[in-house]
Amino acid sequence: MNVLWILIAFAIMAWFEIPGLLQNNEKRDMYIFYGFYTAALLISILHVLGVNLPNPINSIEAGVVSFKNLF
Amino acid sequence: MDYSKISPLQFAILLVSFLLGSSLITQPGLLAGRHTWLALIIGVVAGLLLAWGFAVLANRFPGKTLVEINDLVYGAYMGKFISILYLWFLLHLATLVLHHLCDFITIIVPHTPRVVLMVFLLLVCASAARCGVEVIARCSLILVPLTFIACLFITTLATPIMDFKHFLPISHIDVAKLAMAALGASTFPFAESVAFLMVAFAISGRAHPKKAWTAGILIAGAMFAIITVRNIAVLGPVYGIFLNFPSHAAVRTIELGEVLTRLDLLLVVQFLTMGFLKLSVLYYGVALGTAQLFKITSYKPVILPLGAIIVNLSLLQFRSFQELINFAENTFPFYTIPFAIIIPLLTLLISSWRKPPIAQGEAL
Repeated sequence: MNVLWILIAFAIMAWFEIPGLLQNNEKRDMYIFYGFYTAALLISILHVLGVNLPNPINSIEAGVVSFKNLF
Repeated sequence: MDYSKISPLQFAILLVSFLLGSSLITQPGLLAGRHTWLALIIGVVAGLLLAWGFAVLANRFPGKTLVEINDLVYGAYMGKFISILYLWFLLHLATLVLHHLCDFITIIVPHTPRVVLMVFLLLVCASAARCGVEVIARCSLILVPLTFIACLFITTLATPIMDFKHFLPISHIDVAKLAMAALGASTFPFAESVAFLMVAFAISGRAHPKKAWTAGILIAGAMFAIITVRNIAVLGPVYGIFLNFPSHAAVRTIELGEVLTRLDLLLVVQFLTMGFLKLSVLYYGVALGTAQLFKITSYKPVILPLGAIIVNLSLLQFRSFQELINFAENTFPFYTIPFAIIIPLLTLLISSWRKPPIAQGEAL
């Protein structure tokens, strides 16, 4: 059910953005949009399906701890 | 791209709203307990020093955003790498602000799913970011004075329940705790104003942004001072030790007969409006920076996909509010240092040494 909500939200997003991009005919803009759109869609679906995605906080905390250990 | 123009006054007021953003509820320097006011003063001074550095950098490259400055100073490849780091920092900051906002709102509306709050809040910010920095700045011109008046109103009403003995003993200071709290206050929120290097390009005319930056930090510092004094005087020794939202706890205690109660709702409105402005600035900065990084004609197409990424990251990062507080107190001050101090300082130094090519607008 949650996946369905995500697909609906992303369909609305595509319906909102793509006509303008097609009208402008800027290929670079379109590729970048599709890149971010696909990444966002993928992350959203994986998150909803409960896949364990890497948490950036863990890496940041590890980096800060090793920085603190220098002193 | 974005050809919006804002006046130095609008820039200063927008900076005030940005600094008040999430800090209106979780105050800067909270770790120092009854000496929070002292940590705050140190934080404001450090914030001013940082802001002057940012202002000099912005003034050296008029009309340029941080991404363009990086390209000019560090060259195409290294500049892009540093810009990606900054865009990550701004995006991550946006996820933290969103998480913080929703944590607070769920106190008021506990049965509403967090994801619903996040999506709707971000949609409003997306709309503002799409309209450009000029619209966000105009919103701040209306909302910041109202917040200031509301803050003064609440503080005046709290006067009867204030006890200034809570500030005593003043001389008994835990220096290590104070130093950590001052570092915390200078990084959250003052050092975060590095995000305004993505906005400073829009200042109209040839006005030096230093005055606007200084005014913004001083006004925000004054508001924090009022809030801090009120909270310590109302809450006393428990201040900052057991409370996640001290302002909320302080304001809840205000009751004037049966007429003026539940003034915390006024605080919720303040927090929401300032949070909205902060999130919009960050969102706008990330979208504009991404567009400049990939050299696309408009930043608008990437706004909604970036919003989806922000919501997901925000949901993913912390399981509880305590984890967020723990991150903000122990990790965030050190995490901010490279972005707010080291890299801007390096950029300033390199741009001073290699002045002629930059003045001609060429990459090094």
